[in-house]
Amino acid sequence: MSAERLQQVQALYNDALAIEPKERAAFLDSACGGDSDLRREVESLLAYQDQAETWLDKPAYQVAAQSLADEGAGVLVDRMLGRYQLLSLVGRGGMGDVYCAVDSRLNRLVAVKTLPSYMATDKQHVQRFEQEARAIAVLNHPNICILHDAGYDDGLHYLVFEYLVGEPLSERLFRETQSLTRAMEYATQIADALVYAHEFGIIHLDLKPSNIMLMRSGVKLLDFGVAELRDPDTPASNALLETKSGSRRTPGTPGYMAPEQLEGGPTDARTDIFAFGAVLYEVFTQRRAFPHNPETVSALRAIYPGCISDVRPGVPASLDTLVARCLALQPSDRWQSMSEVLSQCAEIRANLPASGRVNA
Amino acid sequence: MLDQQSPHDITDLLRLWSEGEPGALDRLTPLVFRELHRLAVRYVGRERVDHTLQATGLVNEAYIRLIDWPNVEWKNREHFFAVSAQVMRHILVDYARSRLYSKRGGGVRCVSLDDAPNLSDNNSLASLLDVDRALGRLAALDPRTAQVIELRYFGGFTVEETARIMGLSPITVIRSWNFAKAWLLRELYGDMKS
Repeated sequence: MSAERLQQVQALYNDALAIEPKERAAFLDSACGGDSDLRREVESLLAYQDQAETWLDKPAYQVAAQSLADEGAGVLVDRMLGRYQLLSLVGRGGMGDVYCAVDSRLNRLVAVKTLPSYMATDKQHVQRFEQEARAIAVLNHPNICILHDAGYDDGLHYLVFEYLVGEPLSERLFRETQSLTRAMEYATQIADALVYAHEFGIIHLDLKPSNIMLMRSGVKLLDFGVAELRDPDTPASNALLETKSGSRRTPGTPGYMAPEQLEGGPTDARTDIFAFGAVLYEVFTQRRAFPHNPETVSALRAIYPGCISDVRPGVPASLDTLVARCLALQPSDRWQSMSEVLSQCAEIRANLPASGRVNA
Repeated sequence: MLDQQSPHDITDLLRLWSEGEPGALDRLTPLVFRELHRLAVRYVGRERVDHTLQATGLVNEAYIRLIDWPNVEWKNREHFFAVSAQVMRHILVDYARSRLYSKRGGGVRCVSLDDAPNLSDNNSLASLLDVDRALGRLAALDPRTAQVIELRYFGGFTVEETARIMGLSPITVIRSWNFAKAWLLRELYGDMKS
């Protein structure tokens, strides 16, 4: 078909669309004259006109995003990623899927976390990813889930963690109230893990109850530093995501992210201290400190929580003080190091009444 | 180096790409995917309930984030939106191709057009590739209509935005878009009467 012919077809098509369907045949009769090819062209296009709402109205980027969302949902089961044979999908998150897998060399169970495939895959990037993963793999603490390995295979970045059987703190809190003793035990173990990691210069940046696993042996923090690994090209201090203001944002979780993290400012140990405060609030009250996923600092400010004792009378006043200072909006108003927080936790814990079940 | 990625760089990358620097696309791709992934995360989190409500807002949000508007001169904005749509097209087509032909998928997976005419919910990546190919044929005959499709379908722009970018009236865009859809569907699914 020539360009002129297409123009002709398009003009007739539009004219025909503008009139009542039952009058179109007569219109085309006269408009096309004896040109039956032309008429057939226009009619065959009109036949599709009724499909007013077609899939074409859904932009292509949505198709791709949906595919990204569906991607990996169990499709890797039974496959090898490096030396790991994936057995089953045990978790799905926005930032990747978690598989139970067998390490074929060491013949043990591991958890393999795949990272979204939008990450760049050039050699340099992969190297940096592995370099940062090695930094995290240094962490060896009873309350931190150990990173065994990291790799890149078949277009996917993946992380290999020790395989844990336990219950996420988020679910435990949903199920039952924690006694003061139990809650302070969790707090102390979490704080201890954070102190340890901060000594290595590694900040968690995505601390929240669903990243805290409760095992028979104690608490385990998951995904340490993984927030940074999601984009190893950008240093943690100003990682990821340009926002409208042109700043960046590390991908944490709204409701636990400190103001500076929400705003894309520099993050440091005090950013984890804020999240720790939010987690502690939730452990004691079974309510989120900042519900409704506030995505801006003003939203965060608007729902700023009261004291734990408002919700759960009878907790030590020192606990209110501890959490309030963790949750200060300004990093400089917070506890300045996790070890300060840890010693506060230890003190509160030591001073709890023996039963520990006061006002559970 | 892209270590310190500022929006200004993205604007520069778009400019470089439009000037024929092929490497720029490789550097833009992860940025676009970051935005797509944000969208995907919302899909996973919120199921499929409120997609349509979010659709236009999100893509605009993505462009606003991707492009450093204050540094783009006003007369060039239209041009940059047009280039953005082209970039999106390239990246999405590459993505669809890689997903459909990846070795993980168990070899070549072709969606036969005979299976396709469920017009309302065929949103597969395969149709994305089909549109791209058909668009190539249309562009040779009618570049303007082809650009309407590129902006609307690949760029995700609304009728009003498309009109502004192309310097046309919205009604012209609507007419072009309606015709283009019918033309594409017929290209893809064949003559319904035959």
